[in-house]
Amino acid sequence: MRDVVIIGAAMKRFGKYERSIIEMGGECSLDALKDAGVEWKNVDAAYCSHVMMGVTVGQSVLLPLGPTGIPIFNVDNGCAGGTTAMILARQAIGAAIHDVVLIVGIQKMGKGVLGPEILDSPEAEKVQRTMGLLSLPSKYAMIARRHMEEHGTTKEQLAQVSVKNHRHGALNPYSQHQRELSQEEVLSSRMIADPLTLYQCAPTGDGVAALVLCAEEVAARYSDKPLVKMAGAALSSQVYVPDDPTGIHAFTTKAVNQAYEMAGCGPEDLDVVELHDCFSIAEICHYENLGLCAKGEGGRLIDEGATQLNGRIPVNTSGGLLSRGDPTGATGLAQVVEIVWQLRGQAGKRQVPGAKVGLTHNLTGLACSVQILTR
Amino acid sequence: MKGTEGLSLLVGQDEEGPFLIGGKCASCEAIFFPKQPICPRCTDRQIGETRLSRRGRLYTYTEVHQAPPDYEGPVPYLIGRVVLPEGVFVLAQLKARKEDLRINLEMELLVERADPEQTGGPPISYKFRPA
Repeated sequence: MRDVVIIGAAMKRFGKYERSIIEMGGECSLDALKDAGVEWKNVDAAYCSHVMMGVTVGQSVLLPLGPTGIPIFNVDNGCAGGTTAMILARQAIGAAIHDVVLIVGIQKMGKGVLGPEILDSPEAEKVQRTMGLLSLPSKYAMIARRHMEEHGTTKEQLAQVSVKNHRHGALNPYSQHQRELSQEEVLSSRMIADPLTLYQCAPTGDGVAALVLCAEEVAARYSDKPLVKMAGAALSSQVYVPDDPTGIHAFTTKAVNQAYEMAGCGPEDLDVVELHDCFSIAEICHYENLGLCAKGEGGRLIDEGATQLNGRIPVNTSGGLLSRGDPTGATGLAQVVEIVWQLRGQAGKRQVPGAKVGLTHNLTGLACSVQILTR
Repeated sequence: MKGTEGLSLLVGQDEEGPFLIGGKCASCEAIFFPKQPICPRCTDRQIGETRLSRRGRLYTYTEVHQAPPDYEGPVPYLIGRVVLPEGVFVLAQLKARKEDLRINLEMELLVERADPEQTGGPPISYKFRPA
């Protein structure tokens, strides 16, 4: 298996887009190619990550770059689609099927609460949906309530996750929310599912992000920037764990352990992390699942300030999903873009000095993808 | 409300009242809800039906203030996970006052109209209330 590196990274600020997402995806792809020093005619294959954006939409996004006839794959894996596409690209490059691959994530989103976006769910699930049992905020609210009971986590600690991520996001020109929020503002915002208030839920919005990957052995032809290596990469789906009824802990643990093993490192080696904070409680749980702290200590970690920019292990320097935004098909790629910038020393006011090892954790309802990136 | 015709897949009735229909794997004896044709633990396909306990303990809960699109009942509303003695976690609506709920509270199953204020025939829903 050949080593695979990221040589191009680009995104546009997440938020509400007036222009065509197809056009914006094409532009963002060109930005990533320019960053990589790669011409479109040198690209051997492309992947487009999106959630139900249309038939062969990736081909439509990339057609204006030139009809070069390359294979273009559409990847839909919910909020984890972007990093799922990376795993596919890594396999193809590693196996010497392709040398240079472009990945673009595009998403336009409606308003309101996301449910399981299944067009024709099984009968038993339809009943549960009409009973109002299956929204994402209620799922995470119940995880929060249980965490508070078992580990003494407080609503203030939950709110502090959003305060921290908005503080980071205010420093990120690509973030959807570019303003700080106080604990009071977070706690007094509209209740969505108790104890989660509006500002503890990732906003809906539009987004595009793109990466260029290549075999390490050909990278010098294109780029003189520091190379970011895909040292570990894993994708998991639901595993049977009777006492983890939502599965988010079990499949995160499965993917992260596999990625650590592949990269030959552990949580103590990480300099910077982008994790899937779709809700405030998710960040606290995933501190524990990724091994940044012991089980039950997630609330304490936020209190200690360990995960803020100048802390022991900065988490979500981009602002995370809570501030940077969560346009599903583009979310995972934006996490990786942030880590690439951090490892190259291009993260501006958010720079973690000397960062060499980064991790992204990208989740959707039934899948989890973890990437370990090194320079 | 759409979809409630599927309720008979989930709920049965005997002389002692309503019960939830669980699946039981003939091979590894895993018990699960809702019943499905393949065992989630061992993937065996010999799945029998089992009447799940009517009582369990509240594992977690929330009051939902912003409902998902397919829900048409009153808002806010309470939902929770109840863990039954079989080790099965059941996601259900809760019929209770929020201030009476606490984790580990003993709960019992009932079946009634999804929206008690609504008159007329079905749809109905399974719920848990403090025992």
